[in-house]
Amino acid sequence: MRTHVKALKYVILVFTFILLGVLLVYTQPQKDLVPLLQNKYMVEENGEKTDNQVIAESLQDTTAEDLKQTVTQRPNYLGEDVNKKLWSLKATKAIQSGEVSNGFTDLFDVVANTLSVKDSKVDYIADKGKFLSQENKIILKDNVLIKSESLELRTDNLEYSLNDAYAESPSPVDIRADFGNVIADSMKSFNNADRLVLTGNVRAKLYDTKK
Amino acid sequence: MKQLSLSILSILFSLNAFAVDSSVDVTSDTLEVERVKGEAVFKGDVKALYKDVTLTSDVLKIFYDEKTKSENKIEKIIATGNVILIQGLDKVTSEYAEYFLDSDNIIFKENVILNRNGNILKGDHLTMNTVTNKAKMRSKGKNRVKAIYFKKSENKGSLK
Repeated sequence: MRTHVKALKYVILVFTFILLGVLLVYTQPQKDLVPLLQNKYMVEENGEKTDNQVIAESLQDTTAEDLKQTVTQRPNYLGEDVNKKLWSLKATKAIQSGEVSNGFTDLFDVVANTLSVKDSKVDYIADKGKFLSQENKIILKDNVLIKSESLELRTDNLEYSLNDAYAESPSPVDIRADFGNVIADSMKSFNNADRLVLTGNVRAKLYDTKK
Repeated sequence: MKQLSLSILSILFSLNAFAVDSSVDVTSDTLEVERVKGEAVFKGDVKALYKDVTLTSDVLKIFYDEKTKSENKIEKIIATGNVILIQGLDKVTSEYAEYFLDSDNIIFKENVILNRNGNILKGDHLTMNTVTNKAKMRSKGKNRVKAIYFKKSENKGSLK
């Protein structure tokens, strides 16, 4: 009888340990399961998507190339040209594509300010532009305007080397200046429009204030 | 007489060419504008129009007055190479023409031929005033001024 009681005690003890072990395991928080449980709870609770789901869905159609783009609001680049005149290049938005070292930056609502040899203000304005930072060159497109105190030059395409103070347009140009109006098929501008070379079907109406 | 001077008075050439009181229309193959220097150079098949006057040349240079550059005052215009000036029935050809706007004088140089309604005057140097229409033809070296007149010419002006 005493043997049976002793054996029963051992059985109860072992059963107690097993029961305690099971309770300890299943009452601990499961780290991997918590987010899932919470998400499930949130979806069920609010009927809204979780942040992880939103991010996953937004990246669903994104390629690796797209991921290399960097968007900058109101960028401002500064430099100095061959005539020791400072230039600044601004835009409302810049989108950097590819590596910084060899890529280009798409600019929107571009405005470049600089000075002529005689320190008169010269602005380069365009709707769009591609800035090549390695060369400090910008390719301006759409409603391109070179504006100074005495000159306004309009064209559709202009390649402007900021450091060289040189610009070139393969497209027709329309100049409204204090000396008159000129149109031509293409144009080269040196020293920020201090010297202009117009080629192809040049038509000029020159004013004279003599009389 | 190495140099013969011939004065032409009251020629009604009405050579108001480039008496620029408003604008000059120019067409060409190229135009180079030096704003700092105040120069504009037209090259290649240059054709300039002012009222009823037409000037063609290989090169046309326009110089703005350095002192009054801001006022866009044209100081002088120089045409070189196959210069032809035409107004109505009048025609002047030369290799060089220089027009000073302040004095209203045009100087033609090198193989100058003045043709007015058939009357021809040849020389090396022709000075003409666009306001008074007074002109003076000269020649250098062995060349002498040559003139061919037609009696029945209906010239409006007179030659001296």
